[in-house]
Amino acid sequence: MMKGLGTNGWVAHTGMLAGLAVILFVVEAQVPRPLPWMKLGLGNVAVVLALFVNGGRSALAVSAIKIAVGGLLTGSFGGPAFVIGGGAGFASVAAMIAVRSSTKQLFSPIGISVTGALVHQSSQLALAYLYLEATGLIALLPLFLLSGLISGVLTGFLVFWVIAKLAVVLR
Amino acid sequence: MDSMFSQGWWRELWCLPTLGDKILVAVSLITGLLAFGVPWSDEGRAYQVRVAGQLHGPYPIAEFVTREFEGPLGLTLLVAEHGSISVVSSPCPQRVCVRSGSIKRVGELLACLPNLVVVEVVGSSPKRGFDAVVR
Repeated sequence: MMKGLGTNGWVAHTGMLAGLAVILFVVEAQVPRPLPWMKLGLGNVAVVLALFVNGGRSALAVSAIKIAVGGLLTGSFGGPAFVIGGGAGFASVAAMIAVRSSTKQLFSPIGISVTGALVHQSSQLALAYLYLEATGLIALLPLFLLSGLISGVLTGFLVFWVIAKLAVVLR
Repeated sequence: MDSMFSQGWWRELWCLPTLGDKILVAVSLITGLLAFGVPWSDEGRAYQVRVAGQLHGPYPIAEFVTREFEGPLGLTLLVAEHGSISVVSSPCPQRVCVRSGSIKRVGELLACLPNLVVVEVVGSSPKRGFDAVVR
């Protein structure tokens, strides 16, 4: 989609998407949720977008900036929630990059976003288990996976919509 | 794709994902639903009861016993039998706790919110539960 994009364009796009990711992350953190683990993961829209428009390294950069700056802005930086959420974020983006590069056209942004959401949820539980030694948490796995599936599909459609709207600019 | 929200938008939504997407979603949906049936935690050895925040117990789960706990609305009656706990009567209007059935696995809860009674199954170790919420 981005043929012949130079280094400057790459940096500019990555920077814009990183800013978008941070804003979505921080805004979403203010919205009250029915249950603590029910989260749409809107910041992931920017990460998947970076992966499809700019490639894997850009997605990794956007994700890292989202985790670090988002953690600083929401005040969770360095706490257990940051370690668990941040570790899950890195696992998620790594899985999305791996799946995207190994299966060229098999998955659209929806499939990639679902992959990321499922890996995010399961590694979040695994990290919480290791970090807090909270054995009861494992029983939440099915609930985590299903809520991750729903939010993965929704954010995947959002990415589709954004790409369609940006098609004029990105050509 | 510009007409995504015009007529027949649901058809376009269905056509957007690739076959791989649909298979992935179907497989993970089935796996997630099946995972609800898996016993994820061990059977508990003890249970404890919180009445308006005050902790009672832990009591051994194997002991066949009936216990009463006094909440703001009145007496909530618990029965422990065959290694599981159930609420048999409670003064709350909805009786959610009574209809919740019995619990036996570590981390499972029975809650009578109007009467502020919460029953939790715990393992043998004193380290228990989670005290942080992850998002």
